[in-house]
Amino acid sequence: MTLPLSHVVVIGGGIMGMLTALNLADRGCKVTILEKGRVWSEASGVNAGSLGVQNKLLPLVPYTLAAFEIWRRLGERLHCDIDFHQTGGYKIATTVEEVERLRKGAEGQSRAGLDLRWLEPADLRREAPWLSDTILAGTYCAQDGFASPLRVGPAVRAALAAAGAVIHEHCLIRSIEAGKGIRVETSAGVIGADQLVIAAGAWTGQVAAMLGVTLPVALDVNMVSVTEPGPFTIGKMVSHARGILTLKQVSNGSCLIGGGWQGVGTLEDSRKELEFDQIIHNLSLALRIVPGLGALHVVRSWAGYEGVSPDSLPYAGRLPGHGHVYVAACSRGGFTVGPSITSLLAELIVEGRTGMPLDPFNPGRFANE
Amino acid sequence: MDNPVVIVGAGPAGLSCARTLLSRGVPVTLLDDNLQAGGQYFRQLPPGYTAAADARLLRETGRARELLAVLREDLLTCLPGTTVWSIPAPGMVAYAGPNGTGRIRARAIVLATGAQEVPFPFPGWVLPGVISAGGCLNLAKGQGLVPAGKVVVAGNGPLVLVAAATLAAAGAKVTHVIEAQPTRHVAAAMIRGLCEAPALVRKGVGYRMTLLRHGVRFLSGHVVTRAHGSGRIEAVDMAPLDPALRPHKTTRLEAQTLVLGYGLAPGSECARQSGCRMVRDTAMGGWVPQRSAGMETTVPGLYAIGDGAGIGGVEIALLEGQLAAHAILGEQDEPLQKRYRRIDGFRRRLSRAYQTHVPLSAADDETIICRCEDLRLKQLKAACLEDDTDLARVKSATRLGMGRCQGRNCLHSAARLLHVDATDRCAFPRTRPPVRPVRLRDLARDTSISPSREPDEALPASFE
Amino acid sequence: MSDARFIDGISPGRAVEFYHDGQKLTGFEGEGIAAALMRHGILQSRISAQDHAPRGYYCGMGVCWECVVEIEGHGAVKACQFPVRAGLSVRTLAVRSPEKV
Repeated sequence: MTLPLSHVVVIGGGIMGMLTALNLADRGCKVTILEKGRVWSEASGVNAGSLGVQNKLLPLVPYTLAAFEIWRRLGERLHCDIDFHQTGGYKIATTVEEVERLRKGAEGQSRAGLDLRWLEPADLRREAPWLSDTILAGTYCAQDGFASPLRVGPAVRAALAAAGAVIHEHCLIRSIEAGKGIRVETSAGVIGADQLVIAAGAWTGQVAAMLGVTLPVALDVNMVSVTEPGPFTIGKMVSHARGILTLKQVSNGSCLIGGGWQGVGTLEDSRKELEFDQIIHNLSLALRIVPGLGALHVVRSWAGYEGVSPDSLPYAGRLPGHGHVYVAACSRGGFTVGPSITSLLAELIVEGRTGMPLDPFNPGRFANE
Repeated sequence: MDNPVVIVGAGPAGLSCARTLLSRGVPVTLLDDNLQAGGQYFRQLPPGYTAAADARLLRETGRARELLAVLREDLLTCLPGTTVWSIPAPGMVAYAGPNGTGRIRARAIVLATGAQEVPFPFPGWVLPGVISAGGCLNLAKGQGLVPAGKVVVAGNGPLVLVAAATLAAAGAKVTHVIEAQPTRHVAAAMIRGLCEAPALVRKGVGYRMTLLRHGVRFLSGHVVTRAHGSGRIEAVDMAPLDPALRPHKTTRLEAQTLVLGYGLAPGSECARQSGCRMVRDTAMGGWVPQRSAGMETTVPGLYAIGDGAGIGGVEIALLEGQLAAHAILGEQDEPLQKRYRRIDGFRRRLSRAYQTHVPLSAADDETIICRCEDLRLKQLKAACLEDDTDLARVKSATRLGMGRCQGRNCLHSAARLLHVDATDRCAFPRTRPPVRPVRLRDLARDTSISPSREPDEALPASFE
Repeated sequence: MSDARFIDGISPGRAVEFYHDGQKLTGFEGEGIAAALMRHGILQSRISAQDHAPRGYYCGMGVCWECVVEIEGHGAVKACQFPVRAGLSVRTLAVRSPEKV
């Protein structure tokens, strides 16, 4: 029998926390996950499932490509069909300004190693006749795709259970002491550990504050809508030069429409309410890009909280001033990049170094601002 | 129209409310999902159809004509074929449809949204030819049709009798009526009803006489357990219920149509979405908005009437429509209140008389519960292994209720069969707009929306 | 074989021709699509997505969506609420496999 390397407590049962835990368990650590509600019920569970690279900030592109490598094998690792499809995707522009922006973005992303094709209106009409003919230009990337958050969550949970991880749901954190060891006082009792990972999404700032560290976290209340299943027409993921639309048709034929349009709510009030006028703007935009959507019924809309750092890049690495406390949280596109960020963090915790640098995501990077 | 009273639903309750308001000079806007007003009870044949004086169609024409006359009033704006998809703010109704999309600012909103059939799943209930009691009444009253082959009518409650008698009178070959509750349980309520609601009791007796006249076998204390057929229903299994209400000793009946009437539930999603306090009232069909004597919910200016606010049938609906209108007009009508209280007593007694002491079920593990997603009971049970499971959890684990019906076909039976009973309102997943599916192009036509606040374009699309 | 027939004494409106899965059928002005199909012995309006099993008219009041059909130029339509019109092209609704994209 080999003794576990160490005991790691993870605060937060979203994609960052659960995949960090799974990576650590796979490396022989003992892991305990503490979740204030139910696991996989916030941003990780209610996002629209896009796995996009074209809509990522430049510094995230290599990490997104690394994440795709993991996504491709994740279903196998989890013994579950997670409805992962690398369909390819179009990023489109409808005005001259947007075309310019698209071109600049594409140049940067190409330099970062992304394989993109530039498409003129005639190319788009030939390749994707379902797109509106008012689109002035597009880029195509074969790597864009999607997976089903509803399937990934339960599968990760089952894999964690099989790996011997302990999950405490409805577990509130009362206080944290982090010295030589970790001592977390919770509503489920006191839990001691060797290391602590804060992966509390939008609540990460609140948890870090318990250790006297300020991590700036803004709250987005993102809204998503879904249509009834329609004839399979939209074979690709669609994103927008200005980042205000994501659109895809998933494997049951439903179309998911998002793009970061904002609903209403705060961490304190838990409202997560829809600002339906803005959803209508979101849907109208989708309709202008894909006119065929007009015939489909919208069956559901919802909103979820997403914590965002000031530069929209994740917090991933050691919490400043605390040798045994780590953070993995608050990335735009966290669902896409979760697998690579968490794999690197687990590497850092166990081996003390990482294959790809985590420096751009240093949780201390806003400390002097 | 400036500041009208907006009534959602043009059935008996909505029409009755509209008539009282219009008679007092109050402008009314009436919206309904259907192309024709009348609701289920006063459902009309399509324009261009005629019914001979001796047509074998059991329906009321006098009161229908009188109520539908409101459609010709100048102060009435009627929007048929229109879906109300949200109450976006107090005093505001959002609607969409091929005939127009927009918002109406209302002086008061009256929800008269009617009932929905409570699903009763059993093996084979999804076969074509198995239809709801309401659906078969709509075929008769709204299309002038009856099923051509042999018909079995099964269920629990007064609607079973109404459907069976209407079909038999219209010439359908109804062979059996299968009522779950033994007749002796219902008899006492009927006798009390002779003073409280004599007309209703007479109607009920009339339905039984119609069945007798047409040689229909009436079996109480029985339940349907299975529908057989390949591609369509061909036969039905039924069984008597033992004292624990478990079916035993099945008998097979040939049937080309099976009509199911295992109860109604209020279609109260508009009330839930707008934040009305909901209370559980089993005599009213489950979760209903809490209301004042004037039918006002806990949201000021928002009224709820008729079956959508608590199952009660047409007489209750008509009275509640008047009561809400009086409340909006700021008037009291004590005799009307008194009549209402009497009939309300009868409604509750009759509803309780039909209630079984344990929930009825004929579903097995292979039975489809969610029709939209083809989900079987065993799949739902597998998602219920933790003790703190609620329907929202089952929903995200299985896609229960995520189809076009938005859970209307499945959530009631899932709650019952999984024993995640709705003891508090959170047992049902949150109701958000659109409360009914709306075509995207109809929603996009809404020009009354607030200016666009685009997501921050300096940043990439968030939330994937 | 028909699954539904007119009640004695009921006369429908003007006859119109429409199409169901390419087959020409007679309906009546104002008649619901589901009703017209039933008169022609057609109970199946859609094929379910997972089991590929036939489904048809159930609640008859626009709530359950079991009777949904596809109408050219409209999309998915509830056959219990949508009337037939001359020349209307109605199809059995089925979700086709995504592999064919």
